[in-house]
Amino acid sequence: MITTRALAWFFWLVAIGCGVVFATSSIPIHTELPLLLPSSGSFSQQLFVDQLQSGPTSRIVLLGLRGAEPAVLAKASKKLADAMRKHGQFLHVYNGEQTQNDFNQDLLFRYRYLLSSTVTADQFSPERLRQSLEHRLQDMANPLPAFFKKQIPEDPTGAFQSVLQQLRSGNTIKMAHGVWFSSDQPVALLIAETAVAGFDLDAQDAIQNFLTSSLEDIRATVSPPSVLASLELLRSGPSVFAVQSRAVIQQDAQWLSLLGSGFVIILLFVTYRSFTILLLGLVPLVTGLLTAGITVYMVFGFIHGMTLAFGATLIGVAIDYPLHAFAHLGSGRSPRRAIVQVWPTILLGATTTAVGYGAMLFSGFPGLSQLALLAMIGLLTAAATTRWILPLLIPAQLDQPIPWASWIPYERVTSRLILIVPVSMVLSLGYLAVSEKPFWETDIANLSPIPQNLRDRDIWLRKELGAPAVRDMIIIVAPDEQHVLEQSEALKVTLDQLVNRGHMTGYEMAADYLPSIRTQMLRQRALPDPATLRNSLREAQQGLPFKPSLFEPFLQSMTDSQHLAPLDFRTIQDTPFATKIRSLLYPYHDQWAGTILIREVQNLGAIEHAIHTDTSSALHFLNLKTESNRMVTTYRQEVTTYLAIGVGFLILILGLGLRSFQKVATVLIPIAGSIMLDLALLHAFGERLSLFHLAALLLVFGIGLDYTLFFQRPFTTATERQQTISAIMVCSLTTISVFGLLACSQTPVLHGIGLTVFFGSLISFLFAAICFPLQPQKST
Amino acid sequence: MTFGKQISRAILWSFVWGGLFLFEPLSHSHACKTTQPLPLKEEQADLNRFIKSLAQSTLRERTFHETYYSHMLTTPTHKEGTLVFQPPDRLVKHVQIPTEESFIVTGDNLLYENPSREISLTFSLQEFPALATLIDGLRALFNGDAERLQQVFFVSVSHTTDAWELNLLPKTPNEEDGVDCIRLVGEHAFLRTIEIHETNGDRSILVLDRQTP
Repeated sequence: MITTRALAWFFWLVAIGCGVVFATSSIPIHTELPLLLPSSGSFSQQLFVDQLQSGPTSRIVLLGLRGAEPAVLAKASKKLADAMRKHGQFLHVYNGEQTQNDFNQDLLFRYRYLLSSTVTADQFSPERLRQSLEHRLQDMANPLPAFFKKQIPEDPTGAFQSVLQQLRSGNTIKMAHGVWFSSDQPVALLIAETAVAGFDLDAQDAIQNFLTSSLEDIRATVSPPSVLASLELLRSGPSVFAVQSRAVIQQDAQWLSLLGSGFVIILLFVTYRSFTILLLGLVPLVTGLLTAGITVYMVFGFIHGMTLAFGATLIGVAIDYPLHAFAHLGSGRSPRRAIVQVWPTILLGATTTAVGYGAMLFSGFPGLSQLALLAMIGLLTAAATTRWILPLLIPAQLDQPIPWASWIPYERVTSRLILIVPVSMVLSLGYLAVSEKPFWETDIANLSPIPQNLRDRDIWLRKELGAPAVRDMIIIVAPDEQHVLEQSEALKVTLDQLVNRGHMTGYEMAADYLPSIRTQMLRQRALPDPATLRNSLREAQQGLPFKPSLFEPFLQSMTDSQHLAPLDFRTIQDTPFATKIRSLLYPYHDQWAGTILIREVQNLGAIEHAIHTDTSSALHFLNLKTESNRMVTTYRQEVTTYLAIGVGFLILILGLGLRSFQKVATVLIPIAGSIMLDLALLHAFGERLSLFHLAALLLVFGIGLDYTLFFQRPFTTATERQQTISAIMVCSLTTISVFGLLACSQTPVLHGIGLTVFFGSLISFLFAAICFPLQPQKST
Repeated sequence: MTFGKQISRAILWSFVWGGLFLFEPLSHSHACKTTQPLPLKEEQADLNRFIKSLAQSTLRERTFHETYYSHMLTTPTHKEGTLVFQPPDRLVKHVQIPTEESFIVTGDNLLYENPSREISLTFSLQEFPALATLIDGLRALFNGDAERLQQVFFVSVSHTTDAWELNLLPKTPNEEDGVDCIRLVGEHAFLRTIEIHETNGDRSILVLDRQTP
């Protein structure tokens, strides 16, 4: 027997060891929130998820330097931007110092008559030319930067300046000491776009580390160092938030699992004062979690951090199975017999809960499917381990009754207390019906572990940098690049009207910078022929003091412009000019997409109406906020449906197991009561219910079911009953402590799950105890 | 044909430059007086006192007439308006004739406004070193800060009993179209003329009117 047991331990340890090695070495853990979102759904939902996961806007990094004199900050900004440009991981870095020189000046200058939106045939009439020349005469004598004067002979109509102005559109950022500064605070501003996708977290993490070390380098090079002692780098943007979220979730998961395990171990040891029991108690749990984790990996290819954190909380349920078995040891019973005796109850509890989760597998929400799969496999494996593996591991003589089992005042629990359950049900429902606080969480942003002050700072930095808050956008999807550009241009009339009516303050589209080939050719056709232009110019120059031959270069470049091949994205893709366009015009699956960013929406309804009445079917208006909220609501409704189906199945299984309608009802009433009270308490504590609360409520259901099933079991002796109830109490205590810890998490999702199960398990235990009081006539 | 023309022009220019190099080895070809070695101690004290005395007269608003000569023009252009300096660093040039325009320099910012053309542009002086040098020099002068002035320019002064002339030559040679030199002329403690010579040969002569009461 001893050799069999030793062998069993050996094989179990080897299997678990291999599992652990495999899991830690090859299962990727992701923490990006968007990965929890579904990949199916309407086209605009797909667009939305794509934008969130890898869209150009997800790669934007907003930076601010503060904590020193403006002149010092400016120096630091230049050094930081320089280091970033040399680093190669940024598509572009803007800090204000390069606004004149950053774009490919030669190319833009050569193509100025094709790129400038001011080019019309009318512009080259003698009258308009005259006006342009008068303006140039004014500029000439002004203390303005030299390029204004230098370009006069070649570009008297100022086409190039208008191209530059288009490129700088919206960038009316305050300049000081040669770099961008906040309008109201001494903060130097920078904006960059990373080459890697926003949610490639390892790469983004490396970029964050690079920024930190660059800041250190800057500190080291400036003397005296005290000048930069309090220099601080503010960072924001989707990728920054993603990296921070991961750090927070990882940190939470680490300390919670450590502390949780510690708690459970201490509790078990204090209760049973036996290392053997402790080890045995952990066997089903470890086996279940590991098997479940590997299964999720096999199905999904990765495990999400949230799934893992939730999975770890299954400790609360899986540890119960062996504890129930231990309660039935002793009285000369063999461990195998004790386990066989409690097995039907464990099986019923585990299968019903697993079936409840099973319904969520089909929710279409990857996050929930993962969670459901982990919970199902985890619970079933833990139950199976308790039944078939644990008996092989338990020593033949193990009788470790809970010493304090007889201290509990079971007699005090009278049948009159049962009234508490219906009363609390009525009160909870009444409170929920009357309360005016929002019941559901509709804002996905609140699920992010990023604190509000950092989110506010993001809004501030965006405003200061004139970066459109990436909230409202129109996406145009068309077969090719030119169609996207042409459709964008066609939309300008509508958009300009919206701007003029004050519904929004502006917009930004690729066609602003790179007009469609059709538009460029129209402009070329609008350019006058050399002879006409020469005559017009002569007429315009009359009475002005310009030297007669001064504008020969202008005439020449007009001829040149007429013979230029129009620019398209391919011809400019390797120039700095392209960096501005790349985030607004890009290949999308087999097609091309254009993003039109909308600045400061004032009247969302009017914009939506105008866009929807536009006949083009290629347009998709996305308000990231509305879209994400709509998605959250849709999926919550879906989950509620699946949950209802799950609960239906659960009751069916329960009916099959208990074979009595009355028994099913007596088991379900305390559970229903505890879930209602749980909901009322969560609401009172200001929690807004999300998908994750719902998933946690299912766990509460499973835990409650476990408790009531064991409470209502028939018993042969009073001692056995005392031991059973004490075991349930230990189970309940472990669950309450583990989830109580989780409720302290900074991650809203984990906090929500923790609080739900904390209240739920506590109430479930009390209600089960109240509904099944110790009845002497039955116990003897 | 054109190529031949270019060659001959290049040869001609090399003679001109070579000649300048031979005859004026100490200076660039600029319109102001040549550089002088740093003044002696007593002279430095004199200069300090002189610049300081000059600063007193620049604090009030002055009207000006400006004439601009350019290589692009056959005849010069004229502007009229007011000039005011508010210590320590605000300089406002307000043009009233022929059209309303204003240039307001505060700190590192240059704001150019032209209401009739609906222009309002802000530049950072750091982006345009030539312009920054010019403004830096004028500020130092108006603040009476001889030390700062000498950090940016080689300064030379010549006196008669009533009149004086101050020549400022930028210490860091500017890129093309930069400031070649600045010539300031005055009587007693009053600044009368600011002449700015550009490296491309253009020059502006700004005559400040007698102090308005």
